[in-house]
Amino acid sequence: MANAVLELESLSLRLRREGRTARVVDSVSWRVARSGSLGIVGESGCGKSLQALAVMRLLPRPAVDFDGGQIRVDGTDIIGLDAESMRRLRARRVAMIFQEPMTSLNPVFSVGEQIAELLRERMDMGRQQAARRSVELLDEVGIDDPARRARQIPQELSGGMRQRVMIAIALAGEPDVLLADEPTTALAVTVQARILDLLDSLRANRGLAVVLITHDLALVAGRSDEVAVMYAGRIVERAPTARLFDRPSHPYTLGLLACRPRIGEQRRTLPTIGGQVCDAFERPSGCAFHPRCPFATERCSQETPALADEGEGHMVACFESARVRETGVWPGV
Amino acid sequence: MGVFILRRAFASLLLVWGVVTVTFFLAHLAPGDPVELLSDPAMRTEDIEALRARYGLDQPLPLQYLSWLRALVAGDLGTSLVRQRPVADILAEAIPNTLRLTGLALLLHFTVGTALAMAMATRPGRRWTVASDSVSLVLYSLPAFWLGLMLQFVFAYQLRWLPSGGLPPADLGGAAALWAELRHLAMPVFVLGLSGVASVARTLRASIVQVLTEDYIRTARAKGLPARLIFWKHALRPASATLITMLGLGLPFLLGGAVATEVIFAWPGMGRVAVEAILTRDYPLILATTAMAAVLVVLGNLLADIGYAWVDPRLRRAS
Amino acid sequence: MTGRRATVAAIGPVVLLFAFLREPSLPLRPDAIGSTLLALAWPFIVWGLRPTGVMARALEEDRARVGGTLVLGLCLIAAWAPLLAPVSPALQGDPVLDRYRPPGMEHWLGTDLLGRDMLSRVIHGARVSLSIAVGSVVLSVGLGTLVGAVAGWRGGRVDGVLMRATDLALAFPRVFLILLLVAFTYPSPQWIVVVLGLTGWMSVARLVRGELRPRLQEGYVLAARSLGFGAWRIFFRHLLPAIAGPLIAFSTLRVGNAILAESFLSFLGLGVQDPWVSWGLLIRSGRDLLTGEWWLAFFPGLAIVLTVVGFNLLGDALRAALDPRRHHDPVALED
Repeated sequence: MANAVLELESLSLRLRREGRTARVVDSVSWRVARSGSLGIVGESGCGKSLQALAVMRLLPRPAVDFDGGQIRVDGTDIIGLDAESMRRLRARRVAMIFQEPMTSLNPVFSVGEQIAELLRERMDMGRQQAARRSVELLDEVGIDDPARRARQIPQELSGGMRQRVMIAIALAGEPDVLLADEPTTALAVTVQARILDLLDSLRANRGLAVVLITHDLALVAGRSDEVAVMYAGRIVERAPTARLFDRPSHPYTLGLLACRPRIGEQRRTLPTIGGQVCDAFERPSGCAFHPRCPFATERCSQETPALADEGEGHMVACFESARVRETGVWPGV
Repeated sequence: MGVFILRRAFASLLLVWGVVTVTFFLAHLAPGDPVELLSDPAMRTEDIEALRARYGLDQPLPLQYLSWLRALVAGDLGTSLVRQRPVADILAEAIPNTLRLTGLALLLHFTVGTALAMAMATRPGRRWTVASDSVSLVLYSLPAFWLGLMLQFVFAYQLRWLPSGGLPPADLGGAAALWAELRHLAMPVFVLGLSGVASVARTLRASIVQVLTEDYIRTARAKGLPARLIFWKHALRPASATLITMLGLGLPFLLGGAVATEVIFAWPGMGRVAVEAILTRDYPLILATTAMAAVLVVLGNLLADIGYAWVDPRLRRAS
Repeated sequence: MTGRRATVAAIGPVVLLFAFLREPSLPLRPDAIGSTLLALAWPFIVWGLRPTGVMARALEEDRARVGGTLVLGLCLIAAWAPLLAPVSPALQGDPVLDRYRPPGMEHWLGTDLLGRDMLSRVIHGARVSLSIAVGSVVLSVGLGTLVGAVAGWRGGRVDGVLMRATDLALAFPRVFLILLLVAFTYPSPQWIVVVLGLTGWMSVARLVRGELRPRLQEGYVLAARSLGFGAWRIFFRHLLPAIAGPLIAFSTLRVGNAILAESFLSFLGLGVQDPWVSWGLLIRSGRDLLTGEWWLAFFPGLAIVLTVVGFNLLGDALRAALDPRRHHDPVALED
């Protein structure tokens, strides 16, 4: 991809706790092009949110810090940037929206003010111009009666509307990339779809690249161009979406696909992936997934599989990927 | 907002009335009365009783209460039984003296304290911050009266740089008066200021630090806003609620917070007057000082509540 | 048992030994029996007491260590006062030779007007000052918890009435209220405990009610109620443990305040009186003598400072550790 607007190359992040250090994100690489969309899927604790925070340099230092690799925005590495340059990059080149819109918005300021503030500070707009533009942005994200809403405080809006406000704030700086960290997790299912639709339309209308981070594989189906599945800090499978759903090649991906309840399906029990996600400090030897993996072999507990190219942009980190593709269905209950 | 203020004001009035009533009965129920303390053992019983009657102390308590209340509403604070002077005069003399001390001290508390709090909050983990933290904890733990004594020992008795107490002489003029004022105020204000500064700094800093960990600060950073804007606008606004609480507490402090200091430095202010009144069972004076103090407490709370509502629109719309 | 704990455990027997060596009959004197027993039991107490879980984590912080050491040290000094004090605090010396001796080899902290050893008086003062302070905090916390719990649990009318009463009590300037109440009767240490306790329950009540109310809607409370468990049981088993943390931290900080309050009262002559000894009272005796005999006021005050600092440090550390909403890492706004 020659025109990747955001690219991670072998990015690693380390976590320090009570004197011990572990890699919470391990050699992760992905890229997204203008107007492109990437979905990053994984369970909580696997490090997916931290990557996005790393791009924005909002890591909870000193507990979590960079441990190698590069982050490039339009080809330029940003890890080495000084603080002021990094600050100027935020919101103008890369923007981020967070999971909990209620606590992510300042409770005492009106939502209009929270957008206008960015416009005044970062886009050099005057007061009136900024006020007008915030109303426009609220309209663009699908909020009814935007002029009135702009004067309200977050508490007076519903969850879905608050998230829309967050998106409006993110758009105010006219960024090239939007990192969406579990933007719909805290919202009702019906609202989820609408927010995601909004993101799709923004991609189309503004040429915005979207990185959608979620634990729900279903959300990325049909919306993302490419999906990266993460487990225990590493990317275990990465492929164009259609291919991933068509020929999942990693046991974990199979598991995720199998765990979703489907309308019309007759089942008595929902399949689960046994065991629990491991803590960064307690990683098993070899492949981190092997204790929970129905395809695991002796080798899996000793060697860590690297991401291998299976052709047509499909990368898998599994020794048994061929077998996985053949089986095609999660064998666990 | 107007209704809100009115309701709170009314509740405050009731509160003051409650305090004053309870104080009345408490004071009168305490054993002994000023007549006993004033009278000579050689006096005859009839004379003592006559003295009591003169002051209306032989009436049944509820009646005394009602007549006092009536007088209060009319604006008459009564006459001090012990000092034989109108209470209003005594207070009029004492209050300005206290204000000289506490006003200055409060100013120190909130300027130095706030500056310190902000400095510490924005430099977490630095050695300077940790040191200030420890120092302020120690300052906050000092008994004010003992600190006053120690300062007196060093500066008034050993070094003889400062007077050991009392008001500055009233007959000086111009620069000499100012100098005398400074010298006399130095130690009391220092004592009063010290623990207050420490207390304000610690509380405010904790509040700011707490706010800095909130999600919306992260959002503000994600917007690429400059650090000073994030701090002053986003972080301080919620933290100012804490500041308002403390300011609300500052009002009662104005009159009542200097008791220890006034006693040590022989400063004729409200605190000293109140302590003496209680010791001598001087009812009118006790009631007047308590009433004033209660009014300030309640007023302080009221203003603080109004302040909160102004700072945090959520409160306004909720009520 | 680790080395540190063994050292701490050994303190008891060592103090006992030291006292015995000084004067063999000392440990068995009637006023010292309690301390002797405690000293003997001490190693077992240390062996048996093991802070676990949250408490253990809270105590790992530097602040907690220093504060905890100070507090423990002072409590032990108070508990073993008869064994530790060089002489009885009431023992008067020679009216001429022993009057107002400055700190020296024979009397480490000097002597007072009647030739009484100041070190012994300060040590015994710890007993009175600490017990009054702790006692009053126990009283005010108990009372406040009761009021706050009832108000929070019942809600509605009861809550309204109780909170108005609390507001009323809070509207009194505390100093005046204490002075008024103290004027009621001869200020024995017990009465002082009561007075301080009666004037301090209000903030506890607010705290308890504030902590209680959001928890009443929690799943486990609703579940317990639907199973028919009574209010008291739910409160003690489920709610009290949850609010215990902030309550303990608050109480610890309050003890510091109580010590300051009691010492000020005694200093004014309205608190502890002779023959009891409290730090405030000692400072009072030194008040007029600043020109010369500074040690009379200095050392008791220093004791107060150390004690209050200890409780404040400990209280601070506990509050930080036990607050469920605590965030861990300090945040810097610039990278």
